[in-house]
Amino acid sequence: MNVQSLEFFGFAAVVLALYYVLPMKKQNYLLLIASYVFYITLSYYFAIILLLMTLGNYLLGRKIEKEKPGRKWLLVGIGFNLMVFCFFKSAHFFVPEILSFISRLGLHIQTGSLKIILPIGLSFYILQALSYLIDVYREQIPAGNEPANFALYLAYFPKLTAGPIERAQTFLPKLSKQRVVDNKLLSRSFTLIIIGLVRKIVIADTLMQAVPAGLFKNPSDFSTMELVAWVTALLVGIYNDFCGYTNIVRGISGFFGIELSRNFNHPLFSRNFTEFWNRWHITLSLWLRDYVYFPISRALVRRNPSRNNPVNIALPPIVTMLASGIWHSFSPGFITWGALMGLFLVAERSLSLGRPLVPPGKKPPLRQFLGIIVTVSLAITAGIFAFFTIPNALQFLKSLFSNTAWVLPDSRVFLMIIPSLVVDIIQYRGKNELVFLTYPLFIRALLLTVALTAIFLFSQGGIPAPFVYQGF
Amino acid sequence: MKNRSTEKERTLKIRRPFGQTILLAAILLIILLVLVETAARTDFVRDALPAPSIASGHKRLDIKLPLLDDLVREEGRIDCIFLGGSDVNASINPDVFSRAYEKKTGEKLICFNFGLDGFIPPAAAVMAKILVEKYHPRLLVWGFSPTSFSDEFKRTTKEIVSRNPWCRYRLGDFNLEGWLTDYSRAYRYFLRFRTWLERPGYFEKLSIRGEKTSKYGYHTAERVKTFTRFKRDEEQESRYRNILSDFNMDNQALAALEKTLRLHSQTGIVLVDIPVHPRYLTLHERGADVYRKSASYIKKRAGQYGVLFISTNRFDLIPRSGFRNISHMNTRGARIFSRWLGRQIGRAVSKGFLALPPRPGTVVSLAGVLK
Repeated sequence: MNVQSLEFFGFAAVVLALYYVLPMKKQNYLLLIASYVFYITLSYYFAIILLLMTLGNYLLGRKIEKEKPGRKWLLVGIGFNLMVFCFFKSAHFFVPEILSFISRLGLHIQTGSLKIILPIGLSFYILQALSYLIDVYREQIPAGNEPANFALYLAYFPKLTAGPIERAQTFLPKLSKQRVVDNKLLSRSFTLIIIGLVRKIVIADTLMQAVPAGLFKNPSDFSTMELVAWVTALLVGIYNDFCGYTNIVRGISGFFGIELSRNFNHPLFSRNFTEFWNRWHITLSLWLRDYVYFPISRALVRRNPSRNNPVNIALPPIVTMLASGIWHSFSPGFITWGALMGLFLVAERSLSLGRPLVPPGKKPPLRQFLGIIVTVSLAITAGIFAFFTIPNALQFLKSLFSNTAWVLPDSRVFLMIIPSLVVDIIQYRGKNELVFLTYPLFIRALLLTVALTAIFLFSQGGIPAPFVYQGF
Repeated sequence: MKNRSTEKERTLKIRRPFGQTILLAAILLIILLVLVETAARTDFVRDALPAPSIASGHKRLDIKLPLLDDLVREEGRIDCIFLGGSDVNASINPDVFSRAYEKKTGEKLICFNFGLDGFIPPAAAVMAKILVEKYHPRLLVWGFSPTSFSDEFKRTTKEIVSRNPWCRYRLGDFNLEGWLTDYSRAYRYFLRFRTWLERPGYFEKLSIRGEKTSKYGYHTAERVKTFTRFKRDEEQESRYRNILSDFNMDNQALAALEKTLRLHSQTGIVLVDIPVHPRYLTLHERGADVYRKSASYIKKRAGQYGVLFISTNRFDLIPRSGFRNISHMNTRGARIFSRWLGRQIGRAVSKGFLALPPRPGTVVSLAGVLK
């Protein structure tokens, strides 16, 4: 059941109908059951792992709270979650190795039994479980007395497969309160879903489908202009895919009266890397900031309080971005991507040392514009390592500077990038992602008509592409 | 007690007015759809935009179907459709056929060549049903080489036809996209746009090859290519050699033949074996034998349904200069073959071996029926 599919919307509608007639306490049980039903439709094996992870983390949380300060149990909890995470993330690396080792020993086993699939959403709910344990340890939240609420925190179906990564301290209180869904929330949620569907079905799927398969195999067959155009299309496609997904699930969750966090804030208008990471996959960035970057920074500052100390400047961003790369995938490409992103942040901080700190929005317009160009170009350059295998990424970069023959890029790239930019510019200038709701009734209705027609037309034919971030 | 009342509070709290935007959008949607569909059907849009598409994934099908629609619109009817694979596409010029037929019978037929690359019998049979039921031609001429019934041929074209929403809809499997494609010209324009977005150069590939398609569906190349032994396509010859060496008639292809023959109750059907270059049959020692046996089987099956089967390979009909390769004619060969076929079918009709259903709207004289 894909999040943009009719089946998913039908499922959500049935759950919603029951939800509205139930009292609050039972609403949480309904959501929990619905979330597991949804997960079982993907795989019962995924649901079993989620159940075991929920039980483990719940008990660990109770232990941490009981045995104050509970550092030992926190470390057990972190170790447990990281072990599970590493096991599933790296299974496709080590399973073939184990198999070849076993076959070298002359033993023959059925490979089907060793096929380990990464459960969809595992990377997301493990981060949420970790934030819960750390926050309980820090006494920022109590270990939940309501096991069902904690289970729902991890399993809540709108955010289960690809986030947003919610924090226990903000999400759990929402589950204990009476939810109210009024006209305002309904129209906000509906608008988010429509924007999300346009981003996913009309823009992202079309852009991603247009990217030629040969780009990934033989980048040297393309001219510089084509390479730049297609890799930009890829970035805009991934952005719209993930942003579209987040909008849809936020909209659906809004119908339940539970508001989920925003994940994107026009990252393509970032004027530096610090800003970029505050705008792209915001919930992951904030998680990494709070649980990786800040603890490392604090530990380093305790050892050497100088802000200009090179280790203090370099280590936190590099480790944080490497962690981000590893979270995405254990592949060398993603680790390189993380390292490059870390280096860009270090370079940015180093360049600003000794200068007065000016917020990007206060800089002259030309510098802001140049900032956007440089940031997005470098983000794309790093992204090449994430999109391609390392040898192909290097071939890509080589071709970028050698295949300079004047070949115009495909006009389709611009045709699909422009609607994405238009939506972004409108939201950015209006300083509100739901700026459309402030328009006069007729304009709103006209935009809705165009959006619904486009969604309907582009959703016909072909199998809907799954969301990119469901694979992480 | 307080907690209880809180629990019982309703979650959904809607106040009026509610849903005005959705209601207005619904009205605008209806107006927009009517306007767009009306515009799509005007001559202005028809002339200004490229031909609409059914997004089949088969270039030639996507090109020929709108041409057939245009011809039917222009002439008000279609009398004869030639159906088959690339051999039919290359070897029958409907215009030449029609003139030869008219000379024999005095009647002008509006004909269209619906030969599509790779349309082996299972795919052609599906398309035959669609074409007969949608366009009601008076005559369906199915051309093939007897070796196209080989089980060596891949069935990709059949999958194209059976997967396409419009084809599925026409075959009775209702689906929204197929229904829209059938009824909405605006939607077919959108499909053309979507194909362009998804598959760059999809429609342009044929024009790059210098091929043009006439309004009667006949495709001509800019240059007349002639097959000589110096221009042999080793890969193609090796493929045909394999087919001939291990020839078996495919059950699905035979079932497709039966299906098409059964259409004779709805329209006049003629089966034609399309001439191939003499070298084709000498590629393998079994070649001539395979050809003769399969042709005689098809002839027998056609005879059981009372369907006319025109066999051509016993004549030295097409000179060697009339072929572009061992299985396809060039425009010179096509002109000779089309003229010959027009005369043959014209003769069959005038001598009463083939009865074409009357044109829709024709008043049949009672005397004629009684006679």
